[in-house]
Amino acid sequence: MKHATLIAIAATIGLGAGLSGSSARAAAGALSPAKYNVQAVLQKAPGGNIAPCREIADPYPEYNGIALDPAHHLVSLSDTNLKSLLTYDLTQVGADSTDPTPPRAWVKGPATYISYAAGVAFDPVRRMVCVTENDVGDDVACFPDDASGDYQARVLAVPHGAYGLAFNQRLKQMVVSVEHNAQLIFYRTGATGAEPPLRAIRGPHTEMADPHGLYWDDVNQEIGVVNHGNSSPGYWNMDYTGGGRYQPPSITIFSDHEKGDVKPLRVIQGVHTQLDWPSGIAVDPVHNEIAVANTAGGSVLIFSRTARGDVKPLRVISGPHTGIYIPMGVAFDPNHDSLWVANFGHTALEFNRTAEGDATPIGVLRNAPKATPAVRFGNPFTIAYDSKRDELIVPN
Amino acid sequence: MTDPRIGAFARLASGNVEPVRTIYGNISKLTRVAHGITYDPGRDEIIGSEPLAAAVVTFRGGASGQVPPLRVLQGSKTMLHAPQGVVVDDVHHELIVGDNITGYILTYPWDANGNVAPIRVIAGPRTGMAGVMDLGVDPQRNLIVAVARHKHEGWGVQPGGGIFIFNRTATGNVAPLRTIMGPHTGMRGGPLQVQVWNGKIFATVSNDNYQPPYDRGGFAPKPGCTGPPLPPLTMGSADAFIGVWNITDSGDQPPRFTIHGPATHMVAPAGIALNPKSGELYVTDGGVGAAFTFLVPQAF
Repeated sequence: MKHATLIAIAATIGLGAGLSGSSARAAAGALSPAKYNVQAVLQKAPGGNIAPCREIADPYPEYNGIALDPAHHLVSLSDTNLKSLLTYDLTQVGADSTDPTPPRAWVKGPATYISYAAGVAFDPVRRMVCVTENDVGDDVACFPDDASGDYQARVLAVPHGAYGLAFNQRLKQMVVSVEHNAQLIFYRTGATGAEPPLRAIRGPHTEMADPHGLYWDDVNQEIGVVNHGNSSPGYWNMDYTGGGRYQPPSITIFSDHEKGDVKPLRVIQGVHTQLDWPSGIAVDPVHNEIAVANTAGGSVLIFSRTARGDVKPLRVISGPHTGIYIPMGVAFDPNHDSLWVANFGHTALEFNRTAEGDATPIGVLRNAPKATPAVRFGNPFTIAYDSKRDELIVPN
Repeated sequence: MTDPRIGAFARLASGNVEPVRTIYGNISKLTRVAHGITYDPGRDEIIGSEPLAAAVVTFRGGASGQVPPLRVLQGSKTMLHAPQGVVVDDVHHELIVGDNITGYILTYPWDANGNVAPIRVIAGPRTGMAGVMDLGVDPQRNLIVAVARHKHEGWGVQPGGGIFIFNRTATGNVAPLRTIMGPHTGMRGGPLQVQVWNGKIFATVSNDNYQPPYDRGGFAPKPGCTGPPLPPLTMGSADAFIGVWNITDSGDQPPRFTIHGPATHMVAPAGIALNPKSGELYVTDGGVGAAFTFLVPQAF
């Protein structure tokens, strides 16, 4: 059947808007939840409570996002594996040790609303630390910076696919990047429940595509966000028929008071940038530099804050002595003139701010004993069996 | 999502182990959470769906490192919005894709590459599907088996969804040959992924009651929404299970075999793969961040 014919059919039968909720339920023969006694069904069926014979899993946290509160000497890291948030005292960070670093605070459990924890940000005025939920939690969860255990989070509902997070005290707002519909969405600081957003930056002129980590530069009144480059407007817009596309990864920088389908002030993009799955980004307004956690490149890239176009990084931190491996987040520590890097796994590393090349970290945080392997599942949804190689294939 | 790689693990691996190889990087064109993946033993290829780029990518079976896909199915002619389930029909040389946004089942030549239109599309209200999560194919019986969940248009628990069985060559706005759904199936929220083998249907059922708080466009909270959902992947569901049905089953049919309960360690089972030769069933679980192997020859 031709595409145009199918589109016509789809329009005729109302697929352009999809099935309404009531139609879908009617088509599926839905019943009220009360009529489903699943346990009764399961108890009668053959099979039952069978233990797995093998289980691939990491019993330790695996770091993802990172944020610093220099005023209170805190560093906080999200953990996508055990679904938690660990906060450490920066004054306790030392040279590398074989033992895990004791966190000052560690929130974990159903009351925290943390599951696929991604971006982290401090609100130092309110002494809160917040984390975005990147999958079906659809929230930003906030805690006092000394909270521990299964702490009841203050939560805000956000669109599906939230990643980056930052606060701004001048505008009293927070901003969240959303992968699925390529937007920066803004809320009142302290928003909870289903409070609606104040504004959003989204649309084709923004050049955002699968945005991840971000920074909010209060000094220069700019917001920068890294993009993996994947685009599918049809994911959220049923009427869009243009299909998906890939564009090169990028850094897009916007004026921080904008809204709507605005052009970025600057874009860093191109083969010379070395950007390869850039996931985290931080700004140093004192030295006018930005740092990028270049996940697939296994590196940290340092650019001039005002760079644009297909530019080379000013410095690259990469190599076997760095310990950088699948970096997900970066953060500057102005008190110690240093740069922190969170690896997807069991270490977060501190470097001199001007470090370059195969530099050795000056500080290390560990969430597992040294040399502990890491499975690095990041939401394992699907699986296949490769019968030729006798392997299990699992995407993140 | 964190590091959207493909990882390969030795089948007999267990515990805290690193993958034996990974496929990664911008050049791979992998995106966040490939929601469907299949291995085609006939051509020794890995095929994955990439919903955030509306694409289907194919790699050599032994691909490793920063490598480009052999083929990328993407573009306006493909009709892809959010490809989810993918399966290869090795007998008829076709690639079949289920789309979670449109509810379409799209069939392409197995080697479709670039902006290629489907050769058949199952779409429309008669299908009863609001969003296809995954699908399987039985070339011998000429059947496509799709699993679909309810569509989240409103706020609140909306039971529905199930297993939809179509003639393999069906096209257009057609009703399924039969469905498996209803309270006695145990599928309150609809299954997530499915495999078909030797006349049997194997499905993961999370029964998690997930309710997205925002409209699909991510513009505003849904009317009536008071906050984010309880995180289903952390909370899990005691009602999650693996269910097995016969491909000839119909209606409100209870599963003929199940794996469920605390000994399974499952919280939110999603992916499923089969190894009939070893009597093993593989399940991914995002709730506990694990890949489980169950030795259940009796299920086959």
